[in-house]
Amino acid sequence: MTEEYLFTFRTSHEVFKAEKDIKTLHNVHYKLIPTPREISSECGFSLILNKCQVNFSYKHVYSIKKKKGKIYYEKNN
Amino acid sequence: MKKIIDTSGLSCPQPVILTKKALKEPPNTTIQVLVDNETAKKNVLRFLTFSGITDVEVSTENSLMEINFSVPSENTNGSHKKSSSDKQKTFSKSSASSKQGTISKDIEIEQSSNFTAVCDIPVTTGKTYLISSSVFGEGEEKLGNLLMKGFLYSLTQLDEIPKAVIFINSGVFLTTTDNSDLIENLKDLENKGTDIVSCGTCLDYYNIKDSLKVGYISNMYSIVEMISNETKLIRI
Repeated sequence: MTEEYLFTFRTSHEVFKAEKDIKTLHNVHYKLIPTPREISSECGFSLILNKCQVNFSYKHVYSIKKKKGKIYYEKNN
Repeated sequence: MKKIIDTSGLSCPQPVILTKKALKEPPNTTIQVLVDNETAKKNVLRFLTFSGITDVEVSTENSLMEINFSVPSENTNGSHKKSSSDKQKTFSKSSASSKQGTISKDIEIEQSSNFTAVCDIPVTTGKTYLISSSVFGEGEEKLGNLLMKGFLYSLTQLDEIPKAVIFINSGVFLTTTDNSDLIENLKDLENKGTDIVSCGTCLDYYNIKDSLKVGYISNMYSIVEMISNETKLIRI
């Protein structure tokens, strides 16, 4: 299974910019979701990607791990 | 010519089988199917949608629900066409299980296969959401779009699955969008038992009826009924 990464952002403008940049790339599947409660209690959006190396600015990147049906986010930076 | 099929008291999948038989009636025959439970109603409605019959009226008389439609002149029912390239969308039980029981998936299979009604649609007791815009809240459209995407994703994560999500006015852009993530979320809800309903007049007005990707089309009468009968309604 492909490993997935979750990127958080400083502002919603950064999210729009990142989504725009990703759309120009091939073979990068992304999903835009509200930032999970485990990561932030603030209203924000995150991107889930199947690649870690991308050229947009973000706040943090997390590896998405699944253990016993539960999802965990492991901070990488 | 009108034919009434009373399925009250019959157990699943009999209502669908009788509806399927009714499609063999001469073209333009008006068919009225009477059902006495939600599962039968959902099954018959989905069967009609997948048989290409979209002009369906649903009303509730006493404890019975009426489903009215006409046999199409060019019948799309499997038994009427011989071409092997013709496909009929039918329901099939998925072997996958979820916490709510069996997930039902609509699978497109060859017409020679037998139609299987989904008898174990989870009965949802959740809230009904009326979405009257393609954006969430007032303000910048770009932000409204983002918030709506997030809102619909979050609905899929609720413990209590919504009973229905009704899309009216520009809300119908959400059930016809090319955004596969959004459609995936709505299909996820539908598979869990949520009714995904789009306003027919609205789809027609925006000329996007053919682009409907999830759920079924309904008219103002059924929408009013769905809203009126609901004590747990949230308007977005």
